[in-house]
Amino acid sequence: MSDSEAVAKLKDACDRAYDKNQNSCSNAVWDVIKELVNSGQEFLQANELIDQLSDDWEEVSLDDGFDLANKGVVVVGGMQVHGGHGHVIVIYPGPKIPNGGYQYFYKKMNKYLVLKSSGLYPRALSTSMSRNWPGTLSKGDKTVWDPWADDEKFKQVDFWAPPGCF
Amino acid sequence: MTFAFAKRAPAIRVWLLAGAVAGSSVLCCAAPERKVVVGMSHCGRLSTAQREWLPSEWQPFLEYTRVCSIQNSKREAVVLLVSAWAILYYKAQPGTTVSQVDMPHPLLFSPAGAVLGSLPYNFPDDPPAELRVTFAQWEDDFPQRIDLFLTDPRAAGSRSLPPLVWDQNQRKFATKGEGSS
Repeated sequence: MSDSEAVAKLKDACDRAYDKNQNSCSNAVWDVIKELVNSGQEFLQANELIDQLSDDWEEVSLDDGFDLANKGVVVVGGMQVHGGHGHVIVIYPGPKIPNGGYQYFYKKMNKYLVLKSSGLYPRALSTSMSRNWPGTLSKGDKTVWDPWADDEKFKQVDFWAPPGCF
Repeated sequence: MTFAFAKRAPAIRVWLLAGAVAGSSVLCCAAPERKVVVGMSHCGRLSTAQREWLPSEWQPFLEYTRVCSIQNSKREAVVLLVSAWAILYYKAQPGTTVSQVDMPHPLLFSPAGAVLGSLPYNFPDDPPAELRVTFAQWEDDFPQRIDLFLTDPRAAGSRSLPPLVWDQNQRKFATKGEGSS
């Protein structure tokens, strides 16, 4: 399979996973893994999935993950929340785009704030159970930075690719 | 420790909760642990002299900057928390949609104007998050620790941040490991 065919398959899988699982990041990522990596993958919540990926997949840098995603490889990113729900995403293929740039409603001020952009990042497939933060909803239109939207927290996000892909 | 104490004394627990909700000092007759949750009632506009303590990056936000006075049991100010209040700044901007800007991090001062440290997020709001600041572990009428809790709708979630601990030698509040040379 050529890179362009693999990329098209990854993009299609991400799009389907987004449409089907807008309320669950772990279900969206699970669908992509089942379709393209391991059809027998068990369902795991984000914190547990991150444990499994840390053990069984290969940790990659964000730049390497971006290159792999643009060859059609499934690259999962995530950060655990101890005592809560972690968050997982898939790097969506395509060129990097600016982070931020979207608005959110800040109730205490009764105003919309537009999050400033601070750089170019790979795109993301991201969905969310809480849906409290617009940066967690992305069908390739927001970046891997946006679910966390905080430079310090984003430094703690790790990325993994299936073994043997790198 | 506070929770266990409160469980044994339901009436005091209610009093403690009421104090925390009101954002006022939490003092208790018999409790050794004093906690001051910084609330609006602690805060006001800066004096002209206090404005001069601030670096130039604060200039665009001086109108929206407030100083919160942290008082000891004798009602003497021991620490001042100075921050640019995002809610005041954004409310003052025209229109219903406003571009977010970077604001300086809050600074901690002694009443005489010596810098005692800084906070990692803005107070009381760092949109989309909100920061709760609690001065705790008072010894000799001075807080030894600042507890920070961020209410955050983003993927990292609401969480306790590493506390700032008073370093008597450096005369600064810092997280453990920070500032030690």
